[in-house]
Amino acid sequence: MAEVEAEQPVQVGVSKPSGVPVGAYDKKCIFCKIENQEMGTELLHSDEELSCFRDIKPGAPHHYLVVPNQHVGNCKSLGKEHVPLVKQMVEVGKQILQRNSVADLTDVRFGFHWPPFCSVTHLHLHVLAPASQMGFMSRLFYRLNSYWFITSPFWCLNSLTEEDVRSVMARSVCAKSAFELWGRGRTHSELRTSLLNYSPEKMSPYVHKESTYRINVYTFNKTLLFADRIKKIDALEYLPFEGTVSLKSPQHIFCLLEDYGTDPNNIPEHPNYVYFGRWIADGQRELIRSHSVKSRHFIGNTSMDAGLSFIMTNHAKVKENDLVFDPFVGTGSLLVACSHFGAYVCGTDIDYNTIHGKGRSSRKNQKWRGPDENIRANLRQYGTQKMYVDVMVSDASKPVWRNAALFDAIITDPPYGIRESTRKTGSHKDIAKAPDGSYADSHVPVSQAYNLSDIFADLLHFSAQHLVVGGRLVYWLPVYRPEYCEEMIPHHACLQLVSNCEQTLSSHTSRRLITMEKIKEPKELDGLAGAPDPRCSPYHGHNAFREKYFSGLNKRSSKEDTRADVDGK
Amino acid sequence: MKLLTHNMLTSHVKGVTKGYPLLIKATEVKVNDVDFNPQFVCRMIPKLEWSALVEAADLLGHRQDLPSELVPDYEKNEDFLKKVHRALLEVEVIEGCLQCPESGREFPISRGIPNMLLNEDEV
Repeated sequence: MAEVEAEQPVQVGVSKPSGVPVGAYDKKCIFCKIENQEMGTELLHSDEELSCFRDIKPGAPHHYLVVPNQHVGNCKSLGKEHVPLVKQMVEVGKQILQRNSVADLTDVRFGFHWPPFCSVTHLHLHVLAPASQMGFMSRLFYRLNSYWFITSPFWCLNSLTEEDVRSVMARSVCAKSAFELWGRGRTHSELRTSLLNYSPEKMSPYVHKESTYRINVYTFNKTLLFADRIKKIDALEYLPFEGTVSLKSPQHIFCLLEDYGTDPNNIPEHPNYVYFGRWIADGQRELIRSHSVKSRHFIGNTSMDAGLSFIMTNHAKVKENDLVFDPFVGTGSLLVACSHFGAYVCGTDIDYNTIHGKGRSSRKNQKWRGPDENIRANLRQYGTQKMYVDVMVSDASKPVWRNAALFDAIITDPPYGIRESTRKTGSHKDIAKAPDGSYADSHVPVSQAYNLSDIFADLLHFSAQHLVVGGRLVYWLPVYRPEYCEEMIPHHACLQLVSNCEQTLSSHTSRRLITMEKIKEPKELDGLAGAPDPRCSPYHGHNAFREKYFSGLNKRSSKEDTRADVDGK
Repeated sequence: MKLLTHNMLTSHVKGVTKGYPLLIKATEVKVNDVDFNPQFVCRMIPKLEWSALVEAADLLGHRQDLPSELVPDYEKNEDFLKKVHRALLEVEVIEGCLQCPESGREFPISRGIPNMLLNEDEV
């Protein structure tokens, strides 16, 4: 879903004035006091009409409030006469942003809170930038009742053949259905005009006497009564259908699509937009339900969600008869998705218990794992057991594969060090051994922390060695958002970055789905160039991501500690 | 562990230069029924070390007349492909170990899963 960061329209409620007094100054109002210089707050702008200052609880790196010096109550009390004032407030907001070197003036959010959600009853315009760096709670809090937040769920495309459309829908878990568009409009009468303009030659193969068809009505963001659906179908009687209706098994299915916006709290009486088209194919969204982790035999704490697993499979262009490898396979969620599209799958993990399906269960009511819980069983559950090659207990930092381009795709979710620890074999201590130099069979090698930046350097290096040319690496990269920049994405001379998609996890963390394609063999480069890029070290120090992930939670307690120290002295 | 995997594994013990192929010492071997897919077999053959595959199949007693050299034009030879399919995907070592040809270090296989972890001092 694309977020269109266009110039934000400011919502001004044009209604009759409420009983809130519009006075010059209210001594009980904190904003009146601030703009009167009584609070010692720094005023970033101050003129006869308006003042501007920083919000005390910022929801983004730049968060300013623009207030009129006069005590106007709240946005509900605004009338037509206030429009110039509000326009001026927006202007001042923009000036402040420019003065404070906000680079991208399209990545900004302006707005008022609609009562009763405003904290102070003195009208104040919030100015937030960059909007893309707003924290999770801020995004909720500063979300306007505005159409621009999510673009329409309907997307019109040109220049695609029906075959193209079918092949995309055969793989996509993001697209629900595809239609050949015959007409569209903002109202039903516009739709009618549009449909009557659609070429009869294009319609004729589907509407002739021998054909059978049915018409469905699909309404986005609204539930229609059955009787209303029938009425809408009947209203389409101007269409030149000559065939017969067949509800059970029609040759052709048509759909009337109505878009009622995206705000479930504000459903309009009439649709914002209507479309009519011939149904071509459905997407694979059913896979999200059928392969849901909730009903899978074998899961772990970090098993990848079904939808995301299929998206990763598509990013990696996994196809029938490919050989796919996951070096941090865990419970095999990614392999399940790849096997569904006909790839043969293998994986490794350093954790013996997970690979063997032993140990404590990740399910709430279950203590230990049952006998049918392992990766092979997962594939069996979905009928793809024949795609299972092997899994092994192995350390991803010490690869066990011979030096050749073996895999068509490498898909993985490396540990971030939050819910599963990052480990590799190795020890700083001297381990006592039996005199003959052997270990007991039950000896589990000691592991040390696997530095996060090394994980990605090793992963890229491994992929450059073992992918076929044209093969893809797809993985998640955890990111500390306040410090993120594109240069942090790990590089390798043999791998080309294809895409970089963010999924927000919290206000200060997210993970990015990185897709890379192998473009040349390592031996084609000279020795040094093949080595991991030294710029690839966005994670400084030991497990820095883990520290930063928890720093937000620990900030309060560490502040209290320092205060205690000061007091104690 | 299937022979397809074995064909791609090498010993990574420190200091070893000739770690391929690993010797298989099997105590339990199973033969499964896996759907024959000629396209997949054809795609894998160029990636294999052919002699290592034949050796391993021979050791397990499942060579089934696999030739010591790759036959030319194998894509259309269904009999040949079926034999390769059987060796690569149907023969499975359930219990045993893999031994590094140079250092002698053994990597155990249990329940069909090899454990390739090295100990702290071997790293």
